[in-house]
Amino acid sequence: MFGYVAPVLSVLTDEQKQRYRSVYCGVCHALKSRHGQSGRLSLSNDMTFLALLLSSLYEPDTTQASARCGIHPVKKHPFCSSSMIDYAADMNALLFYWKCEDQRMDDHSLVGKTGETLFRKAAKKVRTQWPAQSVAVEQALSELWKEEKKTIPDPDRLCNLSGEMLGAVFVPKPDDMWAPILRSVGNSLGRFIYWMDAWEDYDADHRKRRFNPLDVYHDRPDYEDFCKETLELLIAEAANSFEILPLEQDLDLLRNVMYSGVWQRYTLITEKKQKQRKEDAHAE
Amino acid sequence: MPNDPFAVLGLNSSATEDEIKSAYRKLAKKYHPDLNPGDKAAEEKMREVNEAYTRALQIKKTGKDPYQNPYSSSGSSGASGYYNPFGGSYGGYGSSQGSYGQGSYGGNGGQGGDPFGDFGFGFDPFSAFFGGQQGGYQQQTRYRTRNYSNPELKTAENHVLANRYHDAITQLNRVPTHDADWHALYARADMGLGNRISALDHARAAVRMAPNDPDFQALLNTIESGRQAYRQARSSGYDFRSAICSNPCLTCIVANMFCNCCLGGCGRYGMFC
Repeated sequence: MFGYVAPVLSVLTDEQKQRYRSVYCGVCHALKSRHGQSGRLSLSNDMTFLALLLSSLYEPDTTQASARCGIHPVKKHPFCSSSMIDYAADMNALLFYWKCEDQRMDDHSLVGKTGETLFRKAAKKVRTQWPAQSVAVEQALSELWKEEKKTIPDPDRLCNLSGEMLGAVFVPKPDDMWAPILRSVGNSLGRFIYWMDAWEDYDADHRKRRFNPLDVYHDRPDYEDFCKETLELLIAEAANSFEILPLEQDLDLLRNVMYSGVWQRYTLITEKKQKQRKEDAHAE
Repeated sequence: MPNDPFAVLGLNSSATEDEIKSAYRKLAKKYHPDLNPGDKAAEEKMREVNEAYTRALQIKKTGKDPYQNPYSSSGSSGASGYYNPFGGSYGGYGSSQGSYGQGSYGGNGGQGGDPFGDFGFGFDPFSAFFGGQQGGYQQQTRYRTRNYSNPELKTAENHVLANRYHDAITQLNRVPTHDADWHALYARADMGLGNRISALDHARAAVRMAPNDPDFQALLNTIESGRQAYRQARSSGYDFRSAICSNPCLTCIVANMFCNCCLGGCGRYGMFC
């Protein structure tokens, strides 16, 4: 359930691209320094967004450096470091661990098993440093797994649980005055991501007779419209809360993600589906 | 009476939302208690700035000044409810010393297991920000009590009005005929529980069955208000799609360039890697 929260790169200015990249690389470096070389495997755009959002809100002391790494052995790449980037990296490792665990339980996949083994230590470390976030993620996930096993699962409940999971991850300081708004952004984003992931995976899940929360809705004539409108409803909430935060730094970049970036996958898949439909009609 | 929130921020009322945010940040950096330990005057000023920020932003968003139009559910608490979120210390900006827990923020919303379900769901997220609100439920006051042909629906409505949403749903599930009233009540119970998807679905069904009923339309509008605002924001300049539409493949390639690491074989999580 990751990867939807990324900017539309093609419309960014060079400066914005560089900025995004330096935070992305920053999270990667933080992963390495905090969770070892393998920590880097978990790197995601979603937590880069979190790093950007939290950096913009709290404006922590940030240092700039540049370095070569395994993926960029020739050219040095600039990267940022700060307490918020470290936090995002920790959350990245935590979520990745649970994603692997989920995958392993779902289809006993080797990838899931490997990831789970590699990140067990990291998850433990994050748990001691960020107990509130870790416990919230664990609780929401165990509920989610229970709910998915029910004969008639409740899509709203599943969405809300995913929301709770990301909501907790979005709050580095639970006592802070912005905590409720940040949590609300994370909550809504979590719900949106869950629905988007279910929508994207529907066909594959159906083929493999795997659970999918949209089973309940799939036979309706307005299924596609219903999904799109639901997605809009969910992301709108995230955007509304996001706009309450007094952000200045990287605001355009963040809005790019919030208003357009989150729709990239949707557009891509819709086009694919339409093409497929045309081909099917043609074959008949 | 409170000052003009725009004046407190050094702006006039034509300032944009982003200008409000920027002005707020400048003042917050100046008066933040972490930078002025023990300075009562700075603390008072910070409180004033916080209040001005939330008010100014809400005036921009809704056209209404929350101070002049306190939410009905704040009731007697009135202005003090409004000040509540800033009643304690200021927490943020490099310190996590805030003296109030998250509970003091609109903490009464969590009937349905999702304490934050009240944020922005079918109503302005700001009301939760102000604290002391009843979350999504206050909207219930907007609906007129209807005359139900079926007394069982009346019972369900009473549950909804008393915030007993689970009871309302149990009651509704017992009713065999699903007319527009039934769907509308279901939507209201769902809203109370933070069930966005089901609420939208039922509200739409109600409108479909009784297209000319203003109550059902109002209910649907409440649920969809955030969505409309989002669409508006996109169409008025926050939309960065333009280039991707003309050439999605290019975007895909560039996006992949960002994909540094991959565990391999993560088909289910395509963009993840």
